Amino acid sequence: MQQIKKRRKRSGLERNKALTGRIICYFWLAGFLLFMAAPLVQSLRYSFSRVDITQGNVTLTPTGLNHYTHAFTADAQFLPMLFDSLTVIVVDVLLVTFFSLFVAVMLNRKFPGRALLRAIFFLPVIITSGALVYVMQSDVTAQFAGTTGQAGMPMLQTVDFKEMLMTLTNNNPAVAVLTDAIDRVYQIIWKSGVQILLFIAGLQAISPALYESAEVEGSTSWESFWKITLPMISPIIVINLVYTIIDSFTDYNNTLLRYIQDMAFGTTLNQGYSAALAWIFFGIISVLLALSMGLLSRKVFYMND
Amino acid sequence: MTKHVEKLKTAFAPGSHRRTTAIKRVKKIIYGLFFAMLFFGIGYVLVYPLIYIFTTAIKSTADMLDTTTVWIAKRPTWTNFPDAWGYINYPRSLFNTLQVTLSVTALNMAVCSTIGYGFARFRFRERGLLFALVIFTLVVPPQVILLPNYLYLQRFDLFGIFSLLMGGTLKMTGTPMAILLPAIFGQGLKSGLFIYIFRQFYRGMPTELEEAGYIDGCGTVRTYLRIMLPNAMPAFVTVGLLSFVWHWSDVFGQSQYLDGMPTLSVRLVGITTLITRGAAVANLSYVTPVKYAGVALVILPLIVLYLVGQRFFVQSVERSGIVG
Repeated sequence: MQQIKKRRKRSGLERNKALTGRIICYFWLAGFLLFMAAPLVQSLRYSFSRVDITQGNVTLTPTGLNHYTHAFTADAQFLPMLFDSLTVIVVDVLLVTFFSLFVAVMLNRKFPGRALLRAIFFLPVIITSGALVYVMQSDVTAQFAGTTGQAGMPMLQTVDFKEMLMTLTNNNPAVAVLTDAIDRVYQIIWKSGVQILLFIAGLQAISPALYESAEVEGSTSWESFWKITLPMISPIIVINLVYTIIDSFTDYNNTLLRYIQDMAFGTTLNQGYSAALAWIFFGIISVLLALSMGLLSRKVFYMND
Repeated sequence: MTKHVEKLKTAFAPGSHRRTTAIKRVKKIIYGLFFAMLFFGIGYVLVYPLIYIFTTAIKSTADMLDTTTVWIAKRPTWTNFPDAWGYINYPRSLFNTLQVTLSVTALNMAVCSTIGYGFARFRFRERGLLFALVIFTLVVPPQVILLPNYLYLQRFDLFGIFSLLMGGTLKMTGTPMAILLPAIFGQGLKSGLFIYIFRQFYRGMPTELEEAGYIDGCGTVRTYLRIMLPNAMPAFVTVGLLSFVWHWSDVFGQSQYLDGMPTLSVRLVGITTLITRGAAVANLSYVTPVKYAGVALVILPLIVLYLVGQRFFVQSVERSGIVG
């Protein structure tokens, strides 16, 4: 009897909690419908039509799938740009995640000058955000890139080394990926600001008691990293992967995104075609995200479930 | 057994203890040197633009034209700063930026934390689907929804309620509400990421904490406010910092939604046009130093903010006593 009573009480609490959760999450959904869904549906409609804007009034002329077929068959720029963007994203995601985890673990130790160093690693968050990128874009890239037009500091580019490797391996494409990665060291460091910050926050949330008890049991710091730090930080690793994918996707330097934006607000003012390109691109990114999250979510460790 | 004893004996033999600590110390020094070098290199890459900004900001026009001057100005001048101050209309723009940034950041911390908690700790059937939508909002670049959202906020009408009550729609663009309103619903600039951060942090917390609250008779709200919030301090500091910086220097949203309301970032982006009064100028040597003085003026508050904020980072953990 008592058992039944207990169970009923518990399920009451569970139901209560589900209700609270629903209230909170449906509040978010209301916002989504107001500010996201409506514009998204609009832009989806744009992608299937010709858009003319005259004094704030928008008129749509349906064109069917024309924009989409044009993107894949007639547009000479779109497909190569898409392919480039995707390879950059995949390589960046791996490098940025490793690099930022490494730096965050280092910065989490106690050493003289830590506050200063952390502040330095926060600089990319400030400098790569919005306004400064717009302002400094022209000057700084001109400074760094010289004549090649490729971003990155000249001294960090492995030009000779790259050529040597390429001739040695008979132009092996796998090596090309590697040397490209080395060329991007500078950008990787710059792209890791937010991820380092998130990792530090994650490391800060791990209870020191765990490390203490491990040390008492005779664990080395190497073992502690694999058995404590890595599982405890795994939820943050997933965020960082997702963030890095999204960041390289919405990056100002992303040539494809600029192409899409120029299409809409530049000289062509082709809102409909721009919307179609955007939808193709973020369809692909969504699939990429779903895949990586699906693969990883099974490996993630949460303290309580 | 005897082997073990032998080991112990050699370990405690006079002199050996000193030797192992000496080896340890040498190892430590080598590690220290290695990391110092590594971080010096990376630090240089990161500080480089900052040095560039500040050295350019004090250059005079003569220095800009002089090709032998690379870093340190031969005829340094401070007048660039007051000039930039004037072009940006600093006091007024700062007020506007602070108004938007502070309110949005406070909103983001409150709203996204609650929504993140909702997704982390309450089980119901459609949770996974809704959370997938949260991630989806991150994928949508603001450029895609700009035009429809602008038109929507220009004639804002919450589910048709306003036009029913007041017989008209509200114009939200040009006021901070255009940026605040989406944030209230967790739909602001990168709100999806903030929700995700909070959700991961709350999910990682031990259930015992919450259960202790429920057993002691706290309701859901009190448990959340009194027990979960204090333990999520690192998440709050991170979200607070990121939200502040991103709104502070956001150009895209502010230039579109806040027409007629100058903010620091928008004025800064347009500073070249302001200085040359829109005329096309071939030689920008008198513009660039003023521009970089403006950049310095805009980012200084952010650097100060981080130096203050990062102290909270360290404190928060020492204060919150989670035992795993």
